[in-house]
Amino acid sequence: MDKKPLKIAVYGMDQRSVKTMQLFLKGPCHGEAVIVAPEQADCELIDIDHPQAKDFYDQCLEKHPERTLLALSLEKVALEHTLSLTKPVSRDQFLHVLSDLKAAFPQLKQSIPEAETSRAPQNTEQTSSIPEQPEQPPLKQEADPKHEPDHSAAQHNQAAFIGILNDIDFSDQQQLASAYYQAQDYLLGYLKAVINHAKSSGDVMQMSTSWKTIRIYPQHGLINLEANDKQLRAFAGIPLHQINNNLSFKAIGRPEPDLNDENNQTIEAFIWKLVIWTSRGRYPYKLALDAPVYLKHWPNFTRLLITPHALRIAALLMQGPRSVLELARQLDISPQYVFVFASTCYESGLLAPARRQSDTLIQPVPPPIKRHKGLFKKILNKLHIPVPGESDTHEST
Amino acid sequence: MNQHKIIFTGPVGAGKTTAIDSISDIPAIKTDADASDMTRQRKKATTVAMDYGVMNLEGGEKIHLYGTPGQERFDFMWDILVTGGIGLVLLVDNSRAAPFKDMAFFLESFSDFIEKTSVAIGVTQMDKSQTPTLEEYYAQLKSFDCPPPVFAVDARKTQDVSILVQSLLFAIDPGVSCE
Ligand SMILES: Nc1nc2c(ncn2[C@@H]2O[C@H](COP(=O)(O)OP(=O)(O)OP(=O)(O)O)[C@@H](O)[C@H]2O)c(=O)[nH]1
Ligand SMILES: [Mg+2]
Repeated sequence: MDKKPLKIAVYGMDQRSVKTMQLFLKGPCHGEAVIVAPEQADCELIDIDHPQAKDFYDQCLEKHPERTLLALSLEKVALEHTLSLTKPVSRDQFLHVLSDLKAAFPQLKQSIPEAETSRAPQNTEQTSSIPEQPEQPPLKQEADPKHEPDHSAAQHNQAAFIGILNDIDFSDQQQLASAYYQAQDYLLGYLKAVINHAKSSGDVMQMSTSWKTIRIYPQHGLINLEANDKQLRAFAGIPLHQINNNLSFKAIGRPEPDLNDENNQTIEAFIWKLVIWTSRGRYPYKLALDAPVYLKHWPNFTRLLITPHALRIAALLMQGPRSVLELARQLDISPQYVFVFASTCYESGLLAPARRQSDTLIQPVPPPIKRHKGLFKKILNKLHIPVPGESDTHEST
Repeated sequence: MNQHKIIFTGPVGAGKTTAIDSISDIPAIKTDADASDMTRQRKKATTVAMDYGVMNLEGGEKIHLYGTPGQERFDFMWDILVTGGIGLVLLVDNSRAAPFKDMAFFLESFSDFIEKTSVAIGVTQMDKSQTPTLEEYYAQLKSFDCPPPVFAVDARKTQDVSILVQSLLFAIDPGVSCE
């Protein structure tokens, strides 16, 4: 097992509860996790029974949408982006969640400096003015146990990269099949159309939304948006009809972009992220789940946000066409990861249905032979350094 | 214990030493010497023997990282170098006169090794020279049954090098997972 402790920021606990929890982590949980100040945390834990829990929740989502949220409560709650733990928390229950969390974020092992383990929490009861969130999931009591988050790695990764879609049970074939999105319902679809227009005309396009202005520089392959990833992420997931948005765009000639402006990003990296936050683990409507697809080439992963398992999926798909469901089966991962990967590649034009060759579908190649398995695992664990997007920096040009 | 190696290759100044240094647990042992004659124009020091770095893994295992000399006249060492190697990282300097020729040269020189293992290609110095584009690299590599990963890489960025090496491992075995 892993020696590096997971760093948790706690909210809604008084000093005594924090102390108790520290002892619980140190003793029964063998130091698998430690409590730290919010800035240093890998994930956050909120006591949902605290009167200000809702504020903490909003604040956590706003400040650190990439972190997994743990909700501690007397009654089971179903919150978006959140794993629920019911009081009293047992050692087993907690360790289970921790090991899933660590498995889902192997990079934690590298990123946790030893020295910080004994840091006391600060401001655990802090409140701050919370900017308005476009998406405010209600704090609702869990009624149907079927929707309870299972503590699989999938869920944790979802929370960090994709956003949990609590209302889809991916192990249910029917729900799985209906877990699609249509790009045209979101900012994504509209923006893609404007980009195409910009590329064919060569003109800079200025697109207005009720939210922000987006500028597209086709000659430079750049997009300019005065918003950080958190804001974009929140906006990306809202169906346009829900926000009564009048989108429009106009050509504004060919002004030069300010190349020093940090709000510039490559169109490629921007669309890639937007797809991730639009898809949130769903697949593109037009893509058949059981028909083989092929990947034109490896995505330029060093300049793109990497979703869980994306490198593996790409590697397997480069060996030959397979269906999306087949990929999930062969790699033994939750379909959500393959869906989000397929979405990014599909919307970026890298992935398409496999062509028929002399009327027979290209046969999927048998699963690869596994060499060096143990060794590779160790190297990968070692190399897992936070991938782009885990910080809030834009991918710049 | 087995000698596990990852080999870094590529033309003079492509970033091999820098790449090894960025993921090695020890400062890379550089065997740079003052460049003379042909390479002097391009950079101040060039590797005349082999670069060496190491990644310490859990359980005490090690991955040795070897960089081939950039100067082609030393290529007799390559055969010795690749014995027992896991795979090849090929760095191509996009700012050189003929990057595709460079790439073809190294792919050809290591073809037996690549056949047995795999290769991942990092195109460096793209900040200095945007052409050829990655699209053009993909087109160059069309003839591969299973085209290798090709990424824009800045050898000074650990993360870029890390993603490149990870892709190499997955290209060899997509079934492998981190825990
Ligand atoms: N601007 C820029 N510089 C880079 C990039 N990658 C590496 N460098 C720099 O390029 C120079 C050459 O890198 P080295 O690592 O010495 O190259 P090498 O392949 O070991 O060269 P030889 O040993 O002579 O074959 C160093 O100064 C690096 O910091 C890049 O993507 N962009
Ligand atoms: Mg060198």
